[in-house]
Amino acid sequence: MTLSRRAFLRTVRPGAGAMSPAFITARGREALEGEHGSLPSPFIPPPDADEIRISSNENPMGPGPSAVSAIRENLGESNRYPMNSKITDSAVAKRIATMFAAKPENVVLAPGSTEVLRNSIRAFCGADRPLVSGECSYENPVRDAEYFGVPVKTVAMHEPDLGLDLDKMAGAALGAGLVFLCNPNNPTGTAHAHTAVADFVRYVSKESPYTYVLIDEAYNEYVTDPAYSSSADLALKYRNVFVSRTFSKAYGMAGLRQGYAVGGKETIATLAPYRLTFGTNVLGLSAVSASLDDPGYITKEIARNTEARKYTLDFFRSAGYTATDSQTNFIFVKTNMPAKQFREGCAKFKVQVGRDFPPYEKTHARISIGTMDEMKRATEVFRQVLGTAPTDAPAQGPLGKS
Amino acid sequence: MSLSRRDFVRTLGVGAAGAYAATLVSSRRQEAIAFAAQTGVSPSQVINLSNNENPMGPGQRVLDAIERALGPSGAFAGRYPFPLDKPLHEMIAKKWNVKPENVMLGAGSTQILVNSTHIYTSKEKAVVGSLPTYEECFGYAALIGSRTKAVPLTSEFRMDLDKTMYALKGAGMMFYCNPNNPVASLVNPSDSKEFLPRALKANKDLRILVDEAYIDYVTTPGHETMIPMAVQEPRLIVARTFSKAYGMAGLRVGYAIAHENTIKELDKFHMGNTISGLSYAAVLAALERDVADPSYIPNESKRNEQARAFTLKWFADRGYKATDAQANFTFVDVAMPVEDFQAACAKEGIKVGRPFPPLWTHCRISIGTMDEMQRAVQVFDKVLSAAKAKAA
Repeated sequence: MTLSRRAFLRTVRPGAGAMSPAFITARGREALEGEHGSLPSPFIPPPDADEIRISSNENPMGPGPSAVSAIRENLGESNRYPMNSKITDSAVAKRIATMFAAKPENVVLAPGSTEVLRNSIRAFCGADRPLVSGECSYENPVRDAEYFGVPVKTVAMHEPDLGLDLDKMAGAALGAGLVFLCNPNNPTGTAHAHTAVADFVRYVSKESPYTYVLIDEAYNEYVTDPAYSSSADLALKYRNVFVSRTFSKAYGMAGLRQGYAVGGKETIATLAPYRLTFGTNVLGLSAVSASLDDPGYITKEIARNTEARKYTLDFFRSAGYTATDSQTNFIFVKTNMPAKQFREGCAKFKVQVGRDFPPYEKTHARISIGTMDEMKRATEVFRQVLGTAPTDAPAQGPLGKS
Repeated sequence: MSLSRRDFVRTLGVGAAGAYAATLVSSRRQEAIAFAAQTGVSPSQVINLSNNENPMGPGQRVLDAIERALGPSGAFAGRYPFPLDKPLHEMIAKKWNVKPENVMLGAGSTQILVNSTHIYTSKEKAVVGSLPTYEECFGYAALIGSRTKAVPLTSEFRMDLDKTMYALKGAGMMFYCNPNNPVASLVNPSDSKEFLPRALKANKDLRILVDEAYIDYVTTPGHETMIPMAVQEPRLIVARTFSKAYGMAGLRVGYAIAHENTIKELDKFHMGNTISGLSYAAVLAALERDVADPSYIPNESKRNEQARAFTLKWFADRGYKATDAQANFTFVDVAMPVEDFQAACAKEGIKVGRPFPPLWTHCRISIGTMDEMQRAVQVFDKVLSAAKAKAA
């Protein structure tokens, strides 16, 4: 807090506003600090903080120099609505569309892909058009479906790899409004090959043409398995398929709230009316625009994550624990202890790890991948919290399964 | 605009109002899409007077706070802003002497308007608002199939409280945009104070959403925020935004103040995590400035008032009628189709507001800096003179 308070005091300085110097003189810095001692710092976390936040699958590096420069250059646009700023929302949508050789009408922006997921439920599900999701997948669509009175069919995970069970999900999809296909899957970290997703989509489109398939590719960039590739091509090919993406993960912009959906014109037009008016903030838009022009940064980020992920997985495996075949910036480890116990144990050492993920909350933990340095420190904490090491059979990946 | 009561009842027909609201939805989308390509003037020369933005921006202190939050590495931007959520609720609560439980944040007050319309209106329970008014509630109501009732304004372009009272029968929510966008007028302060409790009494199911987006720009003596009433009265919600006097339209932060139980009701539908971490940092700094430099926002209001008075006088001197503007925009009868006026101004690099049906000859002109307004009126002069010459 000392650093934070000092940081906040710096806001009241000569030149910052006509009244500030007089205010400081009249009241004294101590009085000001006393009065605002409880004020938060906008720094999270300070670069030298002891705390290691590996609980929310954030990118510890942030969005990189190009994006950061773009934000600084566009600070003066803060007073403009996103259709009036130098980098407009429609320009960003157009820029995104070009990545897929698509048109702007194939893209809808969102303040994080969260909004896409929610609006998909509203647009494509109903009391007689259920949602299909994996039993251990990203929870938001299920929660939203429950709120909107949409029945939910969850499909148990494929054992032992804990990937989505595409065969069973395809069966459950018949007559559904929407299938939520999180690929790679959060929280289990597993990814399906493009061929498997293509088979799935082909089957559902043929057998249940009014069922939409939302492929959530939040972690797309981090996948290292060569059998995987984005399903954006399927989204542009099939009327009932669309892909959601976010800049929160590999692009390092979780705090900037930028995501989008790409899909057929009609699908996007159905989703678009549900979006929040002016939902995407202008500084985030400028960061996205700069990032898309600097693909080298993302390549570096992927390599960095892959290395730290391998280090962390090696630690667990050499200690006798099994983990899923992570294709993301987090891992899903069978710690053989309740996630709560593991989490609280780690928190004592200022290491924050993931929440409970039923039905595996008694045995598994989701651990996000921080920097290599953070993972070195974190694994020491894991060693202490886990105590003696049990052994288990190695997990298999779901790739190659149709 | 002086409709008899019977005409008025017809205006409120569900079908007509519904169709009207549906066109609003599409016009809003068009606005957002069509903007970039309008003018042939280089972008740096364009004066944007179309969306009631604050030309001064959020102020140096806020920009510094964003810079500091970002830090040299920018790693801050990679983190979800969850840790700043509670502090911001607390700071807003402190500003208004309410509890954090009385506060709901949104990505602009837009999200508050959507939440309220979603929760409190339905096919049976209409949203009532003036015609025209800020369209978000009507537009969203049309999207979800809620009934809409649009009440024409008085001859002075103020909300017509008598007709509104009539329309409130059976309604779910009244959208009380005061000052009212796009017409810039304010209900007489004593009338508001008397009307709002009376409306709640007349319809026991009614919710009132008071949109105070432009309140900092009001210069009518005696006008007060309804926040104290919102905290006491579970059926009244106040929406606020940082987009106007606080100069942060692009940062997307607004909030609601309401009774704790009302916030809980709204929260059921609320979509969280829509606000950028940098926006949190910006708003926290602005609220801190409200304490350290309480004259900052009143000074911004004075600056706006001067440029607004200049603009209104320019039109009045030339015989054009405008409403009694109490916001950072004016609403002027340009005596020509507003679409033509808009297009002609755009060619000269001045962006003004789009049409607001059914007032086809009125233009909403946002207030820029004094310098911008001095340049803008030269263009208005040219455009209006040309139109007159053509008509003659």
